[in-house]
Amino acid sequence: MPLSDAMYVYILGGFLGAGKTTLLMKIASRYIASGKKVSVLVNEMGEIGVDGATIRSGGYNAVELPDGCICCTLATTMIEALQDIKNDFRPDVILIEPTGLALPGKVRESVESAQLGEDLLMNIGVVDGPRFEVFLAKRGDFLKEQLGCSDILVLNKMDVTKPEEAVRISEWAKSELGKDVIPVSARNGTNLEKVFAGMRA
Amino acid sequence: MTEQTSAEKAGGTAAGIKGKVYGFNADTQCCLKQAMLEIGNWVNGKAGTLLGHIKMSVTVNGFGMTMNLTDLDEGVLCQGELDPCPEADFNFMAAVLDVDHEELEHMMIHALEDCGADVKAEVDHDHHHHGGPGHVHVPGCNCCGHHHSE
Repeated sequence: MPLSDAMYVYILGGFLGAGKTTLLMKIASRYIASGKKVSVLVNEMGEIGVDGATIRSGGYNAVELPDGCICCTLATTMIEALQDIKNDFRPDVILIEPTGLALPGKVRESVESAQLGEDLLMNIGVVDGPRFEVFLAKRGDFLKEQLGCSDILVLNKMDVTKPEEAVRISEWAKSELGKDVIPVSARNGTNLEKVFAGMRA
Repeated sequence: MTEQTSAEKAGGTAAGIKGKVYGFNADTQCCLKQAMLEIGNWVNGKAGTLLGHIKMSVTVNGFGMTMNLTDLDEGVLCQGELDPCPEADFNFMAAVLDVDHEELEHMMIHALEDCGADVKAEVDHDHHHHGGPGHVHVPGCNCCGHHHSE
């Protein structure tokens, strides 16, 4: 667990529908169960936010930034929101979920420029196991850019990913990104301990 | 020249509609799920595959349930619960690849209107009907021809 006076910031990146919100809620639960104060900042492309309701209904403190992308059009808004969260809520952990069309590396740059004084800033990339091949075929370059900045790379939906697909994804991640994947199912909690260990959670 | 946004870079688009749903219960929830599936099938037909997500929250005072569709085979998955109630707020959004923004928005409005639930969407019909005055079509618009008399 983080030190009592420390503040950790995590950015969960990954394509639309990869399971970022599900993973985020598992991470938030983990921290809250250990007595940490968690704030969530969730961003959605459309004018209308939906995930904020999910997160709030789970009992978590959530700030929603809809109608744009925090890696580009809403970067300044996010910086201000983070500063407000830090000043008003004094969280131990801030979880940031950009839209699935965001580039998390740019989100990280904005977080750094917010000068929150965080003790740890980490990007967690989430790969959609069953749909990896089609994403790769249609948006390979974008996928690579999106996941390339990940400190931890999670291969999600292992409960519905074929073993041979998982092998192929692991090989791709190693050869294209130089990273190992942690296979998990955020939905049923499988193997999340390894992710938590990597997060120092 | 302005720099591309990440959404433009990814070739994605997003649209959202909010409003009220009246007489929310299990049947209403099924109707709303059907509206989401209709959008999913439409995107699948237009883009060749559904890449992205279609989501809806139904809440009272900010708390309630969400429904999520990312995979047509898997169907709409629900998170959270909302007891039957006379009136709730809904947020309906889709973020997907390879479809036109205006068409997506238009299809979402009509999927809601046609799903059988008692909903009132906050929409600007002038905008959503291709610039026509009020709730009418301009020549050449056939994306919801099933729904309106000419």
